[in-house]
Amino acid sequence: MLRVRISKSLDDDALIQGIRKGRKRTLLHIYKKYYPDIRSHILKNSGSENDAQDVFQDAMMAIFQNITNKDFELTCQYKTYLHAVSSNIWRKKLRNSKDKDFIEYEDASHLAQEEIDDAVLTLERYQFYQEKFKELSEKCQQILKMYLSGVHMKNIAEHFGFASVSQTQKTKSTCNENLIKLIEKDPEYQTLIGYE
Amino acid sequence: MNKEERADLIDKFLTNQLEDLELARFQAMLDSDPELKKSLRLELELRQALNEKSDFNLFKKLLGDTHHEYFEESKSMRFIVWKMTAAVLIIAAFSFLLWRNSVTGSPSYIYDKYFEPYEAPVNLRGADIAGMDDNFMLGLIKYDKQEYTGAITLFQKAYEKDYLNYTARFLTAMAYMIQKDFTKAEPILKELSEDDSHLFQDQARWYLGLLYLTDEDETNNEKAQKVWDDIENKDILNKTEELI
Repeated sequence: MLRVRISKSLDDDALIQGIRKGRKRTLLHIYKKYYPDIRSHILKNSGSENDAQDVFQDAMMAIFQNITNKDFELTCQYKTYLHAVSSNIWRKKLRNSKDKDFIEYEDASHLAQEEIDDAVLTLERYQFYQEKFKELSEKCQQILKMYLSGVHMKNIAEHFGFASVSQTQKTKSTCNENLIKLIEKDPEYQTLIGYE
Repeated sequence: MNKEERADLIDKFLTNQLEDLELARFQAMLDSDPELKKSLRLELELRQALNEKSDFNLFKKLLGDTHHEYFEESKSMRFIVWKMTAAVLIIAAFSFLLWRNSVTGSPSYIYDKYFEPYEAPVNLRGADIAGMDDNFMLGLIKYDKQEYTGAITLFQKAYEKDYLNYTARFLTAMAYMIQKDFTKAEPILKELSEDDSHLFQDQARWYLGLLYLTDEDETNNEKAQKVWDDIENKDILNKTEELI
C-alpha cells in the first residue's frame, strides 16, 4: 500500500505548544524551517557553522524557559521572536570583538529588549551554575546530583559509606554551601542576576 | 537569621518538611527578607539547572537529540543529493559522448560539414559562349540557380552530344551529390576519378571519397582512403587529412 506522508505547516500557537510540551516533531520542524535562516545570519555576522549551531540551540533553550513561564504571551511571530533571541545571544558573544560589526534582523528591532534579555539571562545563569558545579569536588558533585534527583538520604549514605543520615545531610549541606559560595563570589553572577 | 539557618529553612520548604504554621511564617518572611527571597530563587534555579530530570535538562536533552537528528538527516540528504547529482552528471556525460560520437562520426555529419558544392563556371567569356552547347549553357544557369533536377537533364543531354564534355559530366555528379542521390553520383565520380584526360580528376576523387564516407556502409571507409591516396592536388590533400 502506498503511504503518503503529509507535512503540515505548523502555526505559531502549535509551535509554542509543541515546545512547551517538548514535542520532538515540533522541534525538528523548527530546525528545518528556521535554522537555515539563523545560520545565514550568523555567518554574515562573522560567525562560523559551529557558532550558528550553538546560537540556535541556546536560543531554543532560552525560548523554552520563557515559554514555560506562566505569564508568557507571544506578541509577535515566532520567527521574529527567534530572530530577536538569536541575535541577542550572538551579539553578547561578539561583545569582546570590537572590530566586528553587527547587522540586526530588521523584523526583530522593534521587540521589547527587556523580555529578550530576561530570557537570555536566565539561560546564561543556568549555564553559569553548571560551570560552577563542575568546580566542586567529584564527591560533592555526585552527592548533590543524587540528592537533586530525589535519591533518599539513607541510600546516599549507604552509597558513600557515611555513618549516618545526619552526617550525609551535613555533607550535602556543606557541598551546597560551597557551590553557592563559588557562585556568589564570582562577579559575573551579579551581572547575571541584574545587580551590575 | 544566618546563612546556615536560611539554607536549612529553604531546604525544608523545598522538601515539604514545613508544618502549616511554619509554612505561613516562611511565606511571610519571604515578603520581608530580600536575602531569603534571593536565596530561595537561587536554590530553585540550581535545582532546575543541576537536576538531570528537571524540565530544563530534559528539554536540553531532547533538543540535543533533535539537533543530532536534524544534522544527520541533512548530512544524509546532502549525500543523497550528491549521489543523484553525480549519477545525473555521469549519465549526461555518457549521453553526450554517445551523441557526439554518433553525430561527428555519422555520414550525415560528414556530409554537412565537408561537402561544399562545386561552383558552376557561369562567368563565361564571349568566345566560350559562342561554341557552347545550348543544353550545357542552360544547365549551367539552372545549376547556378540551384535548380538541380533541371540542370541534370540538360547536362546529360549535353554529355550525350559530346562525351568529352567532362564539365557537364562532373556537374551532373555534383547535382546528384547535392540532392544526396549518392547511388547515381557514385558511378560518374568513379569514372571521372579513373580517367586522367581531364582537369576534374582530383576533384572527382575528393568527392568520391566523401561519398564513400557519407555512405552508411562503414566498409566503404577503406575505399575512401584508397581513392584519396591517389590525389595529387595539395589543397585537396589537406582537406582529406582532416577526415582521415
